[in-house]
Amino acid sequence: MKKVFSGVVAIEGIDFELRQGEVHALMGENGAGKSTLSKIIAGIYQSDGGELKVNGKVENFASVREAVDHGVSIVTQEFSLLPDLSIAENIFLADKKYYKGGFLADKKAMAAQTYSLLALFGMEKTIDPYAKVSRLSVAQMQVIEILKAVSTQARVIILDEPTASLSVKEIEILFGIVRKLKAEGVGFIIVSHKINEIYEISDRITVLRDGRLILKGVETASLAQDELIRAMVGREVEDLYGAGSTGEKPDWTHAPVAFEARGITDQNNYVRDISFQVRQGEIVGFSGLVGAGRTELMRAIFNVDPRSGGQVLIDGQEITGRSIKASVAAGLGFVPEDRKTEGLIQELSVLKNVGLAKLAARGGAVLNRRAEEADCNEMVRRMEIKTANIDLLVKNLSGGNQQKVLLAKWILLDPKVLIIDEPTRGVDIGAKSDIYAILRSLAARGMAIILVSSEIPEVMGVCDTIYVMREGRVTARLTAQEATEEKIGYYSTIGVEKA
Amino acid sequence: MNKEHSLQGGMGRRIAGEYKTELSMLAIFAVFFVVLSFASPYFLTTQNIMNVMSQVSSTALLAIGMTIVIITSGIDLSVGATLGLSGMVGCMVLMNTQNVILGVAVILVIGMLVGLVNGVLIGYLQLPAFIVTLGTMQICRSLDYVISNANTASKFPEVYSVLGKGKIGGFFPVYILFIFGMFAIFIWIMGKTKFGRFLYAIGSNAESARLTGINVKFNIMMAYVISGLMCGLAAWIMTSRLMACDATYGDGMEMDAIAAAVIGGTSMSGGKGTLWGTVIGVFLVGFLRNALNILGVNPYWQGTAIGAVIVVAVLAEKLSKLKVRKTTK
Repeated sequence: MKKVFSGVVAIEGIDFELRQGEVHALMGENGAGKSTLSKIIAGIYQSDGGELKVNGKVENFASVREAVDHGVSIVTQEFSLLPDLSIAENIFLADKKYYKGGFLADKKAMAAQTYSLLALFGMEKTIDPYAKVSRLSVAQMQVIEILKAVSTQARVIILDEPTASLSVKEIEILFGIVRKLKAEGVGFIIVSHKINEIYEISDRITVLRDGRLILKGVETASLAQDELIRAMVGREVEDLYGAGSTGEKPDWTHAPVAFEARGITDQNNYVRDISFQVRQGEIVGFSGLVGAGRTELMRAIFNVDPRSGGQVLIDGQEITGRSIKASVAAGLGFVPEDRKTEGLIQELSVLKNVGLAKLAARGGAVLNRRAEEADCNEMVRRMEIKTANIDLLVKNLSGGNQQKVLLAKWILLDPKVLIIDEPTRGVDIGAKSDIYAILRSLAARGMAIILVSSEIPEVMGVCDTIYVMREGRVTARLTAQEATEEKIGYYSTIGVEKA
Repeated sequence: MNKEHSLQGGMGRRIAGEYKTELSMLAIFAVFFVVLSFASPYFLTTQNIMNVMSQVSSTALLAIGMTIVIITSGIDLSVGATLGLSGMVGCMVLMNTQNVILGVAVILVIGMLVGLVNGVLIGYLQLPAFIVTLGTMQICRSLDYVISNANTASKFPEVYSVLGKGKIGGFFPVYILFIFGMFAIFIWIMGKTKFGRFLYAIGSNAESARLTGINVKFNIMMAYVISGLMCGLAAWIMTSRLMACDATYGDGMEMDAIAAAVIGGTSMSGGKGTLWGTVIGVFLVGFLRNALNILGVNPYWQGTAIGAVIVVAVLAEKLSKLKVRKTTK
């Protein structure tokens, strides 16, 4: 299999096979070619060499339609659902059988069929076929996407990062569905960064790196975890979180308090009365399930959304303004959770993105290209951003590098306190370890960092102090020494720390 | 893997990359120009070029404002009517007071006021630009008729004609200099100032821009105020050239302004486009009309020709995008 993009060979010489009823994990760093390969298989891209066989017959799909007709469906990270149509209409949107005379939608038949599809997975009670898709949670949308594939009699389903925004419980439900379909002979290709999950669900693993095949269909059970990581990264990541370097870290425990939140209550009164402090050089983590109110808390602190109560203090000075600008002026920075829609401006260059926050905070009215170039080049160097040049549009970078650009935008401002929401979502291991190293070095220079993350190992590996949230409240405050996965999991779900 | 030199932005490469659409439009424009020069001996005369300039002068100014508004991912349908209203109110003041400075000030202030109303409704109250400006378009045109009672304002002091009819050194029209001056100023603002950068950022992703600390509402409002100001300037040029003002002035000109922006490569979805492209768009439409006249084509065909250019321009952009998508991602 080979694919060439604007003269760059994205993937080459890759052999891949999927057996019936098997879950095959496709792994590798961002830019390794996983998405390219899966999109060729699904007919979204066409290959420039090599052949695709279905049941032994050569079928190079010219379109997604053709792939679906041959039983190959893909569920991408960007859902293809139409929010204002019902679930049933979404599932059977392109199915001729459900249109009377070829054009009149037979909503009743669609709903009935949807109901029986849902019933297959025991979800007919929780999801109403007539409900609009816009009312579903991300996890439910994921399920609907899979049902859509099932409804086309798919024999091969490709899941691209299926668990990126799901909670632990939702992942269990999803995997239950995968196992059930697998028992019926459906083959799955799962593209994922999450190593734990891959070990849980997959039968075999294929690893790509820089568009080449590194490991071909190795049995999951026979592959050690560190071997897998080495295959993906191409080097040893002995110490992902750099815990070994904590020794160099200056003692923050007696450093002055850089940040204080007092009684923060968000606009919907969901997050209620939360207070905490962060010292200079301290990394404070916020853990909890999706929907625990962590993002709402941070948005209220940074004045992204109005809040109904509470004060934010930097170096003991209250931020009295209620605008993002006031927060930035006081020395706060905020790296939001979704880099595509909230963080970066995809249609602008690396240079323009990196410089934007600084420009908004204190740039003069007239731009200075030379100064911007100097700033950007310095950031590219410091954060090891891989880009062909600084005038490249951000959308052309890989996820990990986009995340670094987003971080760079705020680090360039050198804030006193940096809030980072999910810094490594959809980021490969190599970039992950880079990002952790950057956070550590910022803390070592006295920056106070507030890190929100759904990945418990990440919070434990990076943070000095960990707050656990549930349903809009802080349920525990743990030091790095006290914290264990079990404890964090306990406080995220049922437990409340004794006061 | 990044070598230092590869990170430094090469000027030539940057220009070729950023202005791809504009450069291809310029090429088309050049070919068109050469062909017409051969087709008609009259085409490439000073007299004819001046004619075209005077025909497109007001559209050019409206197109500047329109491009800026479209870059913020908005639209301003009210520009033609705003030109009409601001021109009429200003000219009536001018006729009755014979005070040129007062008259011009009223024209510009009314233009900016309409822009401010649009800007507050669209920027601060976040109403859809299309609907808001559709409304203000109707209101302005209606007020134009109410105030003038469909009469023509005229009998202005002679000095008022300086902008529209004056010639520098008895040869070079003042308004041409004025229009190119305005293009220069706004090309500079959009490309080299913080305000311009923010407008592009807002147009391509308003939420990211807001979370970066950019005052999105204010900047959007300012884009409409600029558009309103350009309406006032266009009204000034038009009435000064004709030394009269009629309630129909500016009617339908919003469509020419949008066409010029789109032909010049400005994307209706916002965040993309430059005033360089708009300059080319304005003159391409102007010279196309002119050429059809010179060649003796039935004027009823003009709409077909200009419409075709718009569709082809958008089609060309779409095709180049498809090609890029196939070869990069």
